Amino acid sequence: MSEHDYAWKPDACAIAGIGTTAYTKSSGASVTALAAEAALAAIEDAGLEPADIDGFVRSDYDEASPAALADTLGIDDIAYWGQTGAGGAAPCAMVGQAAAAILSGQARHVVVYRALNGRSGRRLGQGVPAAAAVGGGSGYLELFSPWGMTSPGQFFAMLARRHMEEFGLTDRTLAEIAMVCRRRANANPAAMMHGRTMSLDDYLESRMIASPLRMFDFCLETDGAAAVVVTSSPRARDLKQRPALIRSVAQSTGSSRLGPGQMYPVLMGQSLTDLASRRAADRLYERAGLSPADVDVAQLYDCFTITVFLQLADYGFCSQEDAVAFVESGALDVGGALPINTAGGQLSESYIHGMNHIVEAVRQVRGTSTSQVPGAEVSLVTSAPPPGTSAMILVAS
Amino acid sequence: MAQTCQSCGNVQQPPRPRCIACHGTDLTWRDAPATGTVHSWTVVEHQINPHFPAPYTVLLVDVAVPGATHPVRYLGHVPGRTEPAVGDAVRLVFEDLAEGVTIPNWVLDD
Repeated sequence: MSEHDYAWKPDACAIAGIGTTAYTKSSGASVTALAAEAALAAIEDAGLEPADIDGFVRSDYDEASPAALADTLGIDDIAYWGQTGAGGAAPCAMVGQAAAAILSGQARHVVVYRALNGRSGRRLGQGVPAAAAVGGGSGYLELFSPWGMTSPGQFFAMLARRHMEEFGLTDRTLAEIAMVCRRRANANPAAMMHGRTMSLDDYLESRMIASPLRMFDFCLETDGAAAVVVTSSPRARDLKQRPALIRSVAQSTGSSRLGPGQMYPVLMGQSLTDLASRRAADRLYERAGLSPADVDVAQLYDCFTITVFLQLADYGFCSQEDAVAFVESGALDVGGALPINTAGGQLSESYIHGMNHIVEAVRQVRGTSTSQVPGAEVSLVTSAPPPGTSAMILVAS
Repeated sequence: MAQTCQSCGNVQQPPRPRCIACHGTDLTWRDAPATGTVHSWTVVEHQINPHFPAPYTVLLVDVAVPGATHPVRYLGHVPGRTEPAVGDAVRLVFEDLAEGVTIPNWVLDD
């Protein structure tokens, strides 16, 4: 870790408000309308008015611009806006960017949002149109697409196969992750899969998409939005809700030996089982002054079941060698050593590109989750592991 | 082929605008061996792109290139379902996709 001219400031900023839309397959609304609905809900939850908001941070994949959102909310002038990414790596980093804006005096109340018509509009993972002579872009698609490596699911299938080879991962282990998330969704009336249970047979009978990953290893596709209001902790204490203090935020690209650019080049890195999440975790815990043993509940980014699996060791909850046994011990469900994705996650609540995880991480330290971990004080949330990633620790106030 | 730095000898894949070891720009190509091993693989059952009818198998291949600090990786495409073991031997072939378009491909060694 490098020396910094200024130290990270634990608990200096807080999440003061949370809001979401309903999670559906066909919203019938524009992405900006969804963003506005979630933002208004978060602003009201905080006990603020839209006119109090002077900053926005979004994901680089978002189709709702800060200017359009400010206009929709009738806000005269925005003093700060920003974005980060890529895609699902954004949410924790977005909150970190909002905190940086607040601590540097550029904004006071920042709305952090993610809105998408992920089912009825632009569906992720369907590939993107590319010219035949494409080359040199950050995705290095020219080195992957011509051989049929065309989607995130196929990419994560390659990672899963390596974890099977190196650490004895089996489909039973992945099934356990899928079923835990489903049970948490069954307890959450807002989850898309609230009314649908999943047995081991259901999992095993779901169709293979890219072996060894089945349909139930894949996240949902969702129309919806989620937003939070970030402000200074002193300010948050004057507002309506119990603040969720931002203990630490960290980003990491990992080593250059992981490969450059977005996602696919990781396949050309030195190891498929050593991703940026390991370094993000080290940085996160160091800034927080906490260790994995302090974490009461975790919202682990789950674009696929394997994504959860590989983060368990990276965030220090077990070794890579013990990860299968850790999952199969029942650690991940409420009552276990590390309850995860307590609203159902992206596998079973909604796919808001990791922003729904932040909302749920806040609920846990407020004590208002539908699968509340008793006495939860330290709440971990992560945003995508490969190759750029971000993570955050929230603590109860 | 694998991108190689003329200044320091670093071999890097994917190719980059500069050498990631010495930042030099004197980059060239060296021949890679025409044999390798399977590092990972997936059988794609759900079709996404009409140019790639499912099922098909994507191979991720390790090739030991002289001078490289770790195996250089390439992709291979095999129509239909195959179930190789990690470590199985593969060999290089060249496939003509269209007039003037030829790509290297890796297939399982029989």
